[in-house]
Amino acid sequence: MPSLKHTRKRIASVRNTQQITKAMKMVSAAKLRRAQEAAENARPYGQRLEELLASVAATVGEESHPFLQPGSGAPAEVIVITSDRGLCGGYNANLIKKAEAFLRSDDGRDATLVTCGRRGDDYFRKHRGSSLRERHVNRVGGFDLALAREVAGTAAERFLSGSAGAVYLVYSQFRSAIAQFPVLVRLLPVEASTRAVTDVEYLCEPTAATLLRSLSARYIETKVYQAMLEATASEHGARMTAMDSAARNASDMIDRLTLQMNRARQASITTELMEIVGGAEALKG
Amino acid sequence: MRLRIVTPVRPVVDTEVTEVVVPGSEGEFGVLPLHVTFLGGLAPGILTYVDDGTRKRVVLDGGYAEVRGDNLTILADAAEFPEEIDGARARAEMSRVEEALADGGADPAQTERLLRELALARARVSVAP
Repeated sequence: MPSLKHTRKRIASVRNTQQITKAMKMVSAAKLRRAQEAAENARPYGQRLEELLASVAATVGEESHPFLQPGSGAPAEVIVITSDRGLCGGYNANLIKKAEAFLRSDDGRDATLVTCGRRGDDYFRKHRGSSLRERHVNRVGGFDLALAREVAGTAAERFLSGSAGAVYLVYSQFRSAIAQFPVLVRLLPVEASTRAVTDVEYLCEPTAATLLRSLSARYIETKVYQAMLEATASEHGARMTAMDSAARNASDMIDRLTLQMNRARQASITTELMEIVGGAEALKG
Repeated sequence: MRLRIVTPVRPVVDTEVTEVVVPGSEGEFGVLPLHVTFLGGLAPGILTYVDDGTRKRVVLDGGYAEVRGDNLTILADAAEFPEEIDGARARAEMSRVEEALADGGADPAQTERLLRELALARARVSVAP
């Protein structure tokens, strides 16, 4: 059995860790609230834009824009959005697994990669360094609109030039603080489901074709931006959950160690008593 | 007539209005109730609307305007109220863009981008408190 002193030291160290994980949980909870708000605020814009794109595409006819048509047949490009920091449970591992599964499938053969976030970047640099095309790591203050525009813009260019046959996005969908799901969505060509048919005839200025071109570019940027917001909320949610269970584990461990410590203390008292009694008996005799 | 202005970051305005003037990419246009179903691009500039008899201004940085039924929806890249603008910084930004434009090279894409920035900077300076 470990000594009394040793157990006391262990308890002190576990308590320290517990304090840290508790603090991290609080911080994540606050950040999660802000991230959720940002995601919610961005939603109306995305919805309206999607509707607009659908109705303009219906007016002009989809053949008129390359974003709405099948790609060149070249290997796909995958944009993987992970976090810059760890200590968030299985969040990044799940995303990497999702991306890997796609890369091993037929659609993902020879696909190139764009990483956003250091965690995913570290992994793919090590395991698939040759297919890594672009890296966005350690962005101060997390993801923002400027980064989304940059990522979406370059991906769209590659799709238009034919060097990428399709563009996919891997990110984490935020459901609640305890539920986040890694998802894979196709960014380009634009999915059929978004082309709802509407019966509205617009008077367009400039022409509908010109509008369609800029609308669809904007649509892709917005998609990437929203994915980043979802990812940020997911990251904080995952970290909050992970830190909560870590703090709980620490408290279980403290209970167990305290029991062990008390036993050791009692054992040493008993031994001492026995020794005194034994000594007194020996003196008597 | 309902006016909604939304940006990628947040919804900015959602209110009942009687009249709106929009900085369209092909020139300014006014929207009154019973306007035809319309879709247009926006240029950086100032949108004004009349809400409850008072005229209000918002600086927009490009985007789209959609009129449909009794709704006018503005999808702007960015939108700011005059009181949110820091006048000194807006003026500094404007002179920066003007300088860049003055000694700019012959790259037409670059010039076009700067002209856009200049239009936005001028709009911001003109409404800044």
